[in-house]
Amino acid sequence: MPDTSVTSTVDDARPLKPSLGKRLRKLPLTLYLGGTLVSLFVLVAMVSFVWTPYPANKLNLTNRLAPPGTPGFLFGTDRAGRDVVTELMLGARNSLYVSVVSTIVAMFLGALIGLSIAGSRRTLQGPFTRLVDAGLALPGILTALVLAAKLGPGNTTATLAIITWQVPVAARVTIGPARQILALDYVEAAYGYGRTKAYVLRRHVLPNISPLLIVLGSVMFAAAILIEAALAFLSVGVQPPTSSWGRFLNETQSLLEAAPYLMFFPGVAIVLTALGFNLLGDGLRTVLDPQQARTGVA
Amino acid sequence: MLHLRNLRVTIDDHEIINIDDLALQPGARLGLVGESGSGKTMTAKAIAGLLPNEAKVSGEVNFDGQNLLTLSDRELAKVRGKRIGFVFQDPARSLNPMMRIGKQVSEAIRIHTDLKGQAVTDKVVDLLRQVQLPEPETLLRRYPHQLSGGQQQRVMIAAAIAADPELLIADEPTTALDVTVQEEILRLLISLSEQRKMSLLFVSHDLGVVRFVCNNVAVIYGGNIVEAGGIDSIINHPKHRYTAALLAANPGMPKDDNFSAFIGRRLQTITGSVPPVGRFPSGCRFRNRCQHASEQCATTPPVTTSTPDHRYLCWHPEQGGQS
Repeated sequence: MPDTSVTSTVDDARPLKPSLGKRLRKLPLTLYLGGTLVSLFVLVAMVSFVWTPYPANKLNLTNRLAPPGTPGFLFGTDRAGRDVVTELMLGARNSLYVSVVSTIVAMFLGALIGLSIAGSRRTLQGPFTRLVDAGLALPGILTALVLAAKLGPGNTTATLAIITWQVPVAARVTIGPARQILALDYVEAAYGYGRTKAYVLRRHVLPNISPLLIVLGSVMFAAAILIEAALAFLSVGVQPPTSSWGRFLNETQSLLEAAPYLMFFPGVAIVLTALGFNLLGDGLRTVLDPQQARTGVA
Repeated sequence: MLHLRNLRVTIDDHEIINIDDLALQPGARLGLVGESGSGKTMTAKAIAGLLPNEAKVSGEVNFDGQNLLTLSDRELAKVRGKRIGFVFQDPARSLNPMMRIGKQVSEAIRIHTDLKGQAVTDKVVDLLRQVQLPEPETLLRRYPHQLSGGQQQRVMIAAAIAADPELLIADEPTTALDVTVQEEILRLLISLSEQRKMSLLFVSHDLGVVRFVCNNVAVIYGGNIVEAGGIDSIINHPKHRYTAALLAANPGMPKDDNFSAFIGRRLQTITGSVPPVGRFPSGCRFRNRCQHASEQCATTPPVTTSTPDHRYLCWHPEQGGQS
């Protein structure tokens, strides 16, 4: 056994790391499940840009309401004879587009507002926080309908509606942890070095709440997908001829007798994708939250 | 160089700090001693404007002819780190766990000097060497949790002196550390202060530690400086009853280590504890815990009695010169 005591004390401070394989196996199952579903969703949406079984909105009037398994139409066709697989792929694309844009914008604005409130004078924090709470209380669907009435239905309306819906959520979730970090000694130490509050918020608070923001983003993604589908279902979202899961689901309503199985395709697609993002968020939280990963650390 | 005059801090109309006069000479080391809740940390924070917003501060914090209390946040940020360095109580919590050591030590350099890139790194390596940390080059890339408590506090000290401040405020820098490490850190602070002609405001609850480090000492109770003066004068001839009680409660002094004399001795304590804010008695703030309190202490706040090198705030000072 070699004598290691002569090596530097600093090197000894390095923690022992288990092998990569061991660490991968310790990751939670939810992370793998969620990751798989989300990757599948993104992959399908991406592939739809270069390849779909049929061109968008290609009507097969001779083959309307073909059942699943019909040669050439794996999941069958809808009322206008459009291939269901193609429809689902294009729907995934629209879903991804709207949720990416709205989540990124909502996260950015929400975190900005949350950090600003956390960093504001204590007398202002209460009123501002209540203002965010008021934003949370706004019924999202109602906001979307108002927006649709003003701007007309479409993807922009849906995106804006999701953003106004989600910004208060992101802000509210940011405020508490940001205030916690601001009360820590190393923030005071940073003031001691001569740092200003804006810098402290950006370089000390933001990185330390980033695990939370990543998890939040994942959950917000799931919500955005559900809202996008809901708005399209209510004809407030994207309009024909663009494909969307929500609108597809709406169309299957009138076919409950003729082809009751049809509603499962967009329905299951929505559920699996939302579930995937939620599972991913849950798995990420377990991995990123040190209080869950290690126990007994104050 | 640092002179506090009529410094008053109130929170919710409760007076937390009331310091008539406290001065620190260039290159000198002043100890600020008191129990928990006596206001010593508040005083240290008030000097650099690190108190929370709801604290109202009045009076004068004269730093090299400039009243720090009149400066804006932005102007104050130029003084903090550059001319006044800080070392906090718990190094583990004063370092950002998500930031590498090198970056944290270089904060003050990057804020207050024009150095860039490699010059900053060189300066940080030099600083880490000055605080006697081994292998500064590898240390730069480590995170705080990879260091021991003593190493972390050395890193904090390196960060605090990075922009060559004229004054270092150390708020109980060794309280969170082992006794063995404590002495090394104290010696480091002394030698840095001597080499750099840097003044040191040393906040502690331990008169023994203060005696080891400082030339002067101010004893604070209930936000008032109850006794101040040269360290030997106060340790050997305490006048204020609070100082005397603090000394009696100390099991031993590092400098007269007649250890056997303390074995089996029953330690004296100060009865009660520091009252919460707003519950201090009338007159002398210490009187409800003082064995020598009289009618006069209840009705009239004591006035300062001054001798050269020593002043105190007590109606019934300790007589003679036992320690």
